[in-house]
Order: sequence, then structure tokens, then C-alpha cells
Amino acid sequence: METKDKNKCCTSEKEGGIWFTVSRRNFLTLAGWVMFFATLGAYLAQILGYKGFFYPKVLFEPSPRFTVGEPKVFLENSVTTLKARKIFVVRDGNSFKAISVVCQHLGCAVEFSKEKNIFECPCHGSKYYRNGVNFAGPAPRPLNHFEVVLDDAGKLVVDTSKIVPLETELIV
Amino acid sequence: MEVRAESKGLVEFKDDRVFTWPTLVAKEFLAAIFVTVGLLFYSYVVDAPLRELSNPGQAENPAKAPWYFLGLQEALVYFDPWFAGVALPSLIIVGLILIPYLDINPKGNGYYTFKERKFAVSVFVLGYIYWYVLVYIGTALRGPFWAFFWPWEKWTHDFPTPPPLHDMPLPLGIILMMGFYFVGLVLPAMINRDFFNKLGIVRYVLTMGLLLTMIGTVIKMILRLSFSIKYIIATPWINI
Amino acid sequence: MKLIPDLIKKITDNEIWKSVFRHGYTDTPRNRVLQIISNVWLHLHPAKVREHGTKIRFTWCMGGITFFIFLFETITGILLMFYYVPDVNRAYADMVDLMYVVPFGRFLRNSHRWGAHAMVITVSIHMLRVFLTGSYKPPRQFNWVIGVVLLVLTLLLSFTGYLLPWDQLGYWAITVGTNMARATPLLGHEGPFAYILGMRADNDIRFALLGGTTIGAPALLRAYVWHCIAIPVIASGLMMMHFWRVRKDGGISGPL
Repeated sequence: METKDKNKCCTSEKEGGIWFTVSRRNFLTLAGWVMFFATLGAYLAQILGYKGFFYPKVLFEPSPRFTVGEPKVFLENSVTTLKARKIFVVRDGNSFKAISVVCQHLGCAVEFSKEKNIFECPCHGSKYYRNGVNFAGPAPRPLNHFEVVLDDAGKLVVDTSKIVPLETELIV
Repeated sequence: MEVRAESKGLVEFKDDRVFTWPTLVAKEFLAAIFVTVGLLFYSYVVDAPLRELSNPGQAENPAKAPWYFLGLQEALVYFDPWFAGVALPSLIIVGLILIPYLDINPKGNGYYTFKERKFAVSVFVLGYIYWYVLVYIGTALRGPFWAFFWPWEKWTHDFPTPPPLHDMPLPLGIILMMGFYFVGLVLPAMINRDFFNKLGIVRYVLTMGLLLTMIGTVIKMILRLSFSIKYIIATPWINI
Repeated sequence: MKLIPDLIKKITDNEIWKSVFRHGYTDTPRNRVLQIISNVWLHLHPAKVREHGTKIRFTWCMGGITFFIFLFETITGILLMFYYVPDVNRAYADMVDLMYVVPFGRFLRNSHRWGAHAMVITVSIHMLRVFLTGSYKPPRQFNWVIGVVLLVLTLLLSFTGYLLPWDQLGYWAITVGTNMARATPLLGHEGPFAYILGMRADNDIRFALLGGTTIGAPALLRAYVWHCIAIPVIASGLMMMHFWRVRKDGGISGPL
């Protein structure tokens, strides 16, 4: 009897499709493994996954919108570096621009070189013209330009969350 | 039965094992002592660097990663960050992991030899040297604004602005790139059929693909230095 | 009266001593074996090893030294943790305190730092040695894979430690390092094809590493936790596997 049963089982397994046969016995095994991996997967997804444990919902970071002062404090045809805010205020005549100090290559702080009238990155030698356009080194694109507006008190306000096209300038 | 006994007799079982205590343990103990003494002596003489407080508005000039990443930082001069910072290190790690599965030469297992595994040893050692040459250039020869200075030159902020870079025309770039990989894959297989047959197509393509990518990074550096080529393939989406 | 032998006999010939040390030290083959297998630390080794495993001109002793430096770093690191607080307002001041105020602090910090550099060097030389002797060949293929992962973990350990002093050196090194993550294809907001998944500075892979859009307080805390707990634990687990497999695969080199 036993041998017969064994044969039966094996033939039925052979007939049961190419993937697997769900017999009563291995159904529970299979279900167990599926549950195990499903639970583990769900757990890991919550921890390592997108918008999971490692993505905080509230940031304690400085506001992207800040006042930089009245237009007249910036000299004509000058580039002023506001280190704490990580921007340059570029004034040409009456036009104002706020350009990011963050190098578009790997995020070092670029420096303005007065003699050469260009921005230079100390990390990998990217170079940008005064209008923020890259021309040498590994930088892939121009420096970010931020929105500049005048508030009611006549002071310049920069919003670093709003990136504007290169040609944009505030004429005061 | 007879045959088995005979063949068993032929196998010479050489037991070259020695007692761990004290042969090995004594040497390990000595090594540990030497390392400790060396480390403590060096720590006593040389202070670990501590610069001024971090300042997000003022980058170090030159700003350098830890020395063991300076090879990658040096590669960043020639490649976009997605390649030099992400793809290239991933390829290096994957390549290293694949080594035991690609190198199927049974010889040279457990002893030093160059003759019996010329290809494997020369590729690995060249890659190893290449990595450390880049580390050396990044550490010692890159000054302010990541400008290149020879060891005998003084670091200054006063160096000529490098000429603007230009991209290769897209069709030419694509042809060059595909041609490079095509020739690099086909030519060695034609010249050395034995090599190809031994490895099989999958191992062969993986081995040569990784090797060609390593050589390709050198070629891109040469192109940049001699012809001011910024990208070989420049598209709005991805640049190499 | 022989004072010293008598004294030794007094110390060793009693129940307390024998409860700690189970066997004598007379140099017999039996004691040589017992010395290894009855000692919880030494039984990392088998009682007998292949001869080339004991030759320094074969092994360069680099794997063992790497492990030793890992232990050295663990001890000095734990000591440094007594004074260091991973808070942006305190971290740098704590480093200065360690350098100038804490007795022995400068020495500990120096040796932790230089040990980290030394470990990167020894682990890479170890890899070279394993390659040159063909020790990754069957049956040790997978142990080489574990070794590569350990190499990466060593670099990550050193890299996360770099930020902790919160000085200009570390700050900008980590800036450059993590901004590479920003350029990851698909997953970083400045990488190629990032727009497909809608990546921004505040939801990409770099954000998950730093816990913010800039290197600030969350980034420092994360570097600290990765450096002091998470990576060492993962690396220890893999090291156990690495050493275990060396034994199970029949020693450090050669066919099984």
C-alpha cells in the first residue's frame, strides 16, 4: 500500500504544472513562507522604503524666504556674498539678482573672484561667468537664480525655494 | 576494489598542518604589538587634523574628501557625478564581487604566481595601481580650486583660467563609444579564440565589459586633457 | 628553599586557579591543542593550520591586523563616546575639549583617527594579497564576496566618522560625498531621469541619508548612529561569517 501511495503522489506532482503543486502538506509550508516574506518585506519597506522611517516629515531648517536689506546697501556693479544665506547678491546698475553659492557640480560653495570677474568652485574647479553660466570644469549647468522681490518696506526679499530663469532680474 | 585501492595509493595526502599554538598565535601576538606600538607612536607625534568650526557658507579650498575617496573625486573632474560618484563606484564593487565567478582558471590557487594567471594578475594589479595613482593625484597634486600642480610647484590662487570645454558632436560620440565597445569585445575574441571559448560568452562579455570600462575612463581623461572634450556623448538627459 | 617555584605552585595548585585554567602549560602536543580549543578567543583558530597560513611572507598578516585594528578602533571609539555629544552646537566644542582638556583625550582621538586610516590601508593590502595568492578560487568564492562587502563597510565607517568633529574638513568632505548621492540616476534629484520618479531635494535618496536637505543636526546624528552602532554591528556579523568560512573552507588558501 505504501509504495502505491508514494507512486501516486509522485505522478500527481509530475502532472501538476511546471511551477509547483499545491498539495495539502506543502500548501501550509508555502503559505508560511509567503507570510514570512510578506511581513518582512512590509516591515523593511516601512523602514528603508520611500517616505519611510528615514524620511522625516518635518524639517527644522531655516526659512527659504528672507530679507537681505535695502537695495542701496549693495554697491553698484558689485557682487556681495551672503555666506550665512548661501547666496550672492549681484547688482549691475539698477538690476538685482540673487545667485546661489551652491556649485551645480557637487554642492561646494563657489567663490567670487573680483580680478577675473567669475565664480570659481574650490572643490573641482568649475567656473561660472558673472551671470551664473558655467564655462569650465565639470559643472553641468548654470548656478541657480532665486526670486528677488521688494517688500512693502522697500527691502529686498529673496526666496530660495523659487528658482527663476537666468534672464530674470529685479530692476529697482 | 583493486582498482580503487590502487588509485587511492596514488593520491599523496600531504599533511602540512602545524600546531596553531604557538606557531601562528605567537606571530599574531607580535604583529598586534607592532601595530599597537606603531599606532601609538604615530598618535603621540602627529595630531589628528581639526580645522575651524564648520561653516556652510565658506568651502575649504581645496575641499577634499577623505584620501581613500580622492580617486573618485579626481574622476569627478572628468565625469558627471552620476557616473564618477555613483555608477563607477558601483561598477567597481560589482566587478570586485564578480572576480571569483569570472576567473575560472583553476591554477594559482593558494600560491603566488604570475606565469599561470598573467591576464588576471595584470588586470587586477593595473586597476589597483590606477586607483592609487588617482588617489595620489587627488591628494598631493590638486591645489586651490582643484587646479593641478606638480609636486615641485607651489600652490597659488594665481593660475591661468583653463580654456572652455566643448562636447563632441552627438553622432560622432555615439559611433566612437559603440565602436570602442564593439571592437574591444570582438577583437580579443577573434585574436584569442581559446580565451573566449574557455570563458564562455557570458563571462567573456562581463570580463571584457568591466575591463573596457576601466580603460574607457583613462581614454576619457586623455581626451579631456589633450582636446578639452567635455562629454563624448552629450544629450539633454544624460552625459558621458 | 626555592621561593619562586613554591610561590607559583601555591598560586596555581588550588581550586580557584584550576577552575579558571583547565590545563597545564607544559609544552606537550595535548596542551598545544587545549590551549586553542579551550580558549574562547583563540578557538577562532583551528588547533592546527596549514603551514602557509603561518608564514608572514605568504599572508603579510594583513587580515589579522585589520581585525586587530577594528578591535582597537572599537575600544578607543567607546572611550571617545564618553565625551562626545552628536549635537551641532556641542560637537566641535567637545572635540576641542578632547584635544585640550580631557586627560589622555588628544592621544585617544589621534589614535582613533590614525587607526581608521591604517585600517583602510591594511584592508586594501589584504585584498591584494588574497588576489595574488588566488585565495578567492573555489571553494572560497563567496568569502571573497563577503570580503568586498567588508571593504565597503570599512570605507563607510571611516566616511561617517569623518563628519563627527563638525569641522570644515569633515563638513565639506561629507558635502561632496553626499552630493554624489544627489546625482544617483533615477533616485537622486539631480541625477539623470530623476523627473520620472518626481525627485526633489526633499524626497530623494540624499534626503534619506541626511534626514534633511542640508547637512545639519539630523545628518550629524545619523552619521553618529551609523558610525558607532549600525555599521559596526553589521560589520561584526559579516566578520563572524568571514572567519567562520575561512575555517569551513579549509584554511585561508589553497584547494580544499
